[in-house]
Amino acid sequence: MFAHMDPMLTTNRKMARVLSIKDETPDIKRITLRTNRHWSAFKAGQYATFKVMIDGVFLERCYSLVSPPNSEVIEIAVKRQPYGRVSNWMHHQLEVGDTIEMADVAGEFVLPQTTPDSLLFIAGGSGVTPIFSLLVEAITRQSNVDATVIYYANSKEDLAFGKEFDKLAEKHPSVTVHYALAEDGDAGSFSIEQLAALCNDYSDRETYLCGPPGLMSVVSKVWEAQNITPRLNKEVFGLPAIESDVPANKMPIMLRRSQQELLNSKPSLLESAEAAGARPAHGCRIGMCKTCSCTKVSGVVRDLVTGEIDDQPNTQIRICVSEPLSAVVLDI
Amino acid sequence: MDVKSKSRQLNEEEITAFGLELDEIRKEVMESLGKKEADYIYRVRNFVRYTEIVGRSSLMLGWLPPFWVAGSAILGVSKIVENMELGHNVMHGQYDWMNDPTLRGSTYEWDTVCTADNWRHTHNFMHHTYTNVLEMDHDIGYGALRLFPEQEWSPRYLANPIIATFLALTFEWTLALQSLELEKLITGEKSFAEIREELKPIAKKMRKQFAKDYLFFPLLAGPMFIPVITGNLMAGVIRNLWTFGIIFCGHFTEDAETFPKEIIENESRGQWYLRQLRGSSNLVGGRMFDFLTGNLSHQIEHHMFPDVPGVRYAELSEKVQDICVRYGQNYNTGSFKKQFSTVVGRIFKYALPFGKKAKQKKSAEIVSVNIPQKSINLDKNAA
Repeated sequence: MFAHMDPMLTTNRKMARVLSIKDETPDIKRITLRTNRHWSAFKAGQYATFKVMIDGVFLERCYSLVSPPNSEVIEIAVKRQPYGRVSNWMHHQLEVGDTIEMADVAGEFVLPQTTPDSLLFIAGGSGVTPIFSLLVEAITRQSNVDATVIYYANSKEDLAFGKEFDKLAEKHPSVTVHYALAEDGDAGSFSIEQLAALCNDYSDRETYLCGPPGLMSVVSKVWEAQNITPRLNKEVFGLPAIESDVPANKMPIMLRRSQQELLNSKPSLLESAEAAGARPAHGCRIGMCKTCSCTKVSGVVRDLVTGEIDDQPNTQIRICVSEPLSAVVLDI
Repeated sequence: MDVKSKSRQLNEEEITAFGLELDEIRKEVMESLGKKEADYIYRVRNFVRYTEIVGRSSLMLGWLPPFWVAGSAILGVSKIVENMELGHNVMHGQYDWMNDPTLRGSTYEWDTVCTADNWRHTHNFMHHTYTNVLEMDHDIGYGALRLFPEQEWSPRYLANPIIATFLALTFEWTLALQSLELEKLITGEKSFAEIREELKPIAKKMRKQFAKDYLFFPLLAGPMFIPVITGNLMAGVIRNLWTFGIIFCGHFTEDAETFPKEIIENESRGQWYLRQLRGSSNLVGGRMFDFLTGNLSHQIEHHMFPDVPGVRYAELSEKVQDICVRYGQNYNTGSFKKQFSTVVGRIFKYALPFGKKAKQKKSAEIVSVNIPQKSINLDKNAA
């Protein structure tokens, strides 16, 4: 009832009120928010889930928190995706004073308890957000931390946090920041030669990588080839995509609550789970009674009755009439 | 009152086409769901919350008769709307598309004695999957009443009218026991030990509901104990009578059909829709009536599309009726008075061993739905 007077007064939900919205680059906005009393602490590099209602439907998206953990307000940087429902909504509909519901903070993309001797940060596009947080955190812990940043972006005006990076590099001589811009041709794309030139001791450094899938995969290959993968920390972002190159019967299905992993061996998720020995609740098996409805935590599925494809996190699906189109995690 | 189908027999192609047309209707409506329906269900929830507050507050002044009457009535309406338009519909997953965990079908718990989990099994699964299939749909008489000639008669059904009255008054409590299938104790299909085990979660919810309405609020009222407890009892009875009336009109009217077990073998989607249509019956009323029945006044549409928000049934019913006309199918509808009087007629008639001989004939007739080659226009609706 308090929530009817002011959504921030809700008795149990995490809510945040928008304090400011500023343009950072042509397609990235920085949004600061004040959270209500249900908000809990987080670590630099982690992300928060935001639940926004668009046209009657709650959609969830994760955004890295770019404000330091001890700050009174939180800040996120949102890149507008061409067809992104939530990012477009945040860019065009969200206004100062609005409240947004939030879910838990999560993420393993954090600095270890003891700050490593030397660090390398590789960021691409909007993947810079957790990287920026981690750099600030590393400097806060140890102002002469040995850190190198390589930041890939399309053009100079697409650099988010550019001014902050420059200032940090200026103030802390031990911090080096390199920008690699696509508008400059070859210099803007990752190669092992470029890496060796910018940071020749990369194999000795604890490395943090966040960027688009292409960058993530080429960088990972270099670390794999050198057998130093354990030193590479990665953060993936964005919605899952249909994995058309994976054969249907090899699609992994994870039942989260029962901690069971299985493969998509049958036409529907329910039958696959049963074939693997799991016993999910079910009823009519024709997609009508919803006894088998459960939360699909992540992954892309197709409804076998309607043909509808669902790639959103945390939605309700009927497993008796759903087939996976990517790796799927179910809350069963 | 022996049921003869008022609907034309359809051949296989017609049944398939019939199903496809209904699938198309469902698809259209599901794609159109949005802010309007979300706002609506939040308004309904607010209505339930605020009428409960007003009703209970009013009963606190219950020593003044107008406050007692108003309080009982408002609380009764609040419970009706919570159980029907909110609880029943949300538990069907009608608002799952909103991704609001507080309106999630699989976890919602309603303000009635029957546990939501038992309800999801006996109602969402058993009743909606096997609608009006004898020995499969436990809602046919709830194991306590004989309503169709196809149910075998036994002397205990002589008490039909008395049991029906008792059910109506205590519907909330007796419905809570439905999942136990107590009649199986008589036939020996179930043991007392099994019943005791299954009773545990039910007893827990019973204690909770009883404590709320008959201990907590009356005690909170202090000197107003008596008006509050009687008011709560009254509100419960109002809700019980109303839900009993609406639900019994859904499948036990004069033209409602039952089906033999064999019908569900290899039942196609079109045949499934057809069975839902023939086993269900609607009630004609205005918007307020629809709201108070949780849109179960459109039982036919509800059975065809149980996960479509009820608030859209009125609009769908025009399209469904149009399809029914084109396929020569009876669209069973009428006023509450007309439909309910035929239900009462059944309760009395089938207390007596009427219709036992009709059993064989009836089964054969319905099974022919499954044998479309033989289908000819068997329209027996000469009346």
